[in-house]
Amino acid sequence: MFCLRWFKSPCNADDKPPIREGPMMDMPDLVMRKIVADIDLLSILRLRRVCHAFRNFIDDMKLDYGINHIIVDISPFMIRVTLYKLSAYFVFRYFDMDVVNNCLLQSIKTDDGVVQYLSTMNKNCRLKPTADDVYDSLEKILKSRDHPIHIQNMTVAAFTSQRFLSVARCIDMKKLINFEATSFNKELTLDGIVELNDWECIPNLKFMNSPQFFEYYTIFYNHLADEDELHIALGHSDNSTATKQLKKPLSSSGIHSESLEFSEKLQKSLRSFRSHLTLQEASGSSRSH
Amino acid sequence: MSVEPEVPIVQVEEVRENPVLYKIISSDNHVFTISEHAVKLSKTLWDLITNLGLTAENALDNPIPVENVNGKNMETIVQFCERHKYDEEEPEYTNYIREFVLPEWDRQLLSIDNEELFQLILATNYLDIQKLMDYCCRVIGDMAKDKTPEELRIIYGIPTDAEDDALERSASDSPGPSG
Repeated sequence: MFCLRWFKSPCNADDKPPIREGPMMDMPDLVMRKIVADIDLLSILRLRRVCHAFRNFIDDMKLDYGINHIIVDISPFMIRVTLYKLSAYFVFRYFDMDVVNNCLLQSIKTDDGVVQYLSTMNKNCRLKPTADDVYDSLEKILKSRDHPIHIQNMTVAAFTSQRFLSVARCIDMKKLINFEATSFNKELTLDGIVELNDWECIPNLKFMNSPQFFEYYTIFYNHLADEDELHIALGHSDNSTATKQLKKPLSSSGIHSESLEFSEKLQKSLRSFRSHLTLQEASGSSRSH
Repeated sequence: MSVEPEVPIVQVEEVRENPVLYKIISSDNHVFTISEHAVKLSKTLWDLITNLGLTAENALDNPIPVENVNGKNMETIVQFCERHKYDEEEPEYTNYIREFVLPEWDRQLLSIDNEELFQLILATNYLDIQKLMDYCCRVIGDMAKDKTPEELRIIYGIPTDAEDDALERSASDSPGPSG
């Protein structure tokens, strides 16, 4: 098969010394694709950082590495990315340099190839030095897409609502089936979540508050029809089908007011809820210890 | 009592020892002899041979010139084809974690300078030898393991963004065919 690049015409006899392109860039497109398809994932990620042209080439290829599940954990002291593949999953864990001057990896279920990935990452790589950088990168990647990303199940444990919301705005809420949010900080309120477009289309929502105040507090509901149903769900009714779970606070003093405060916030936020979904089933049970 | 059919038994080794041979001339006028089974690994060459109607009788009298491949690469290619001419077809990779391991003989054969390896890939691509292409790409892919972006840039000869911009500028500054 002939290729244009194969028959490069000789350079014009200019005075400028020609900058020599590397052998990789001399390859015909099909050959380049074959070479890149044979390179392992982590090397591809590093290759993307070599130059813009190569990054664009790799991105255009849309390689499929069989990764079907990604979890990104970002906290002030740790950044962890878990990539799930067809037969195994592996975890890259990064600690902030200020806290631990090293990378630590943890693999729960692994095989030889994954161990190799992990050791490589442990030795040479860090995603980004700080959680903010990771958030920025993640947001940038998501915003660079032509369409909001389609996700079926989303679990978020956030410290700040601002960061969470900026990423959440890049997600197509209409495609989301299960959503679970946990706040580790009182700053994260549901007020922000209801600002997201089409958030009311999510069939299954689950909110968990900070474990600092209670062991956990879960509101789980399916296909709520109107605000009345929400009140039931929030425990403002004696209806036994209310879908509320409230576990025992860690201590008695002051905790109850916190839980009420949280419920008030939740109620206030959900008042703007205008769902056209029909009530199908209100599942769950109410527990209070 | 069954009677065995009288079919002449031809040992496989005998067939292997009496192959049809073809002559190939590289771009630098080196002449190589390659067996029929081996040359079949190259789709380009085999198509040429069948289209030209070369037979066992006239094959050696009609050497095939290959202008795009030099003697060094052609030598490697002939060695490879002769080595793998009786290989069975391998199934395509179906899983994402590739289990394929490059045989030691082939790794030795392909332990050459990066520049030469890329030239060999171009030659392999031209001659359309799928198996050799797979092996070369695997070697290239293995080079990337445990390397930093800067090391990758050097190994693969990828220009930096600045160099790339300079290349583009020089290309746009240079007069076109009509200029």
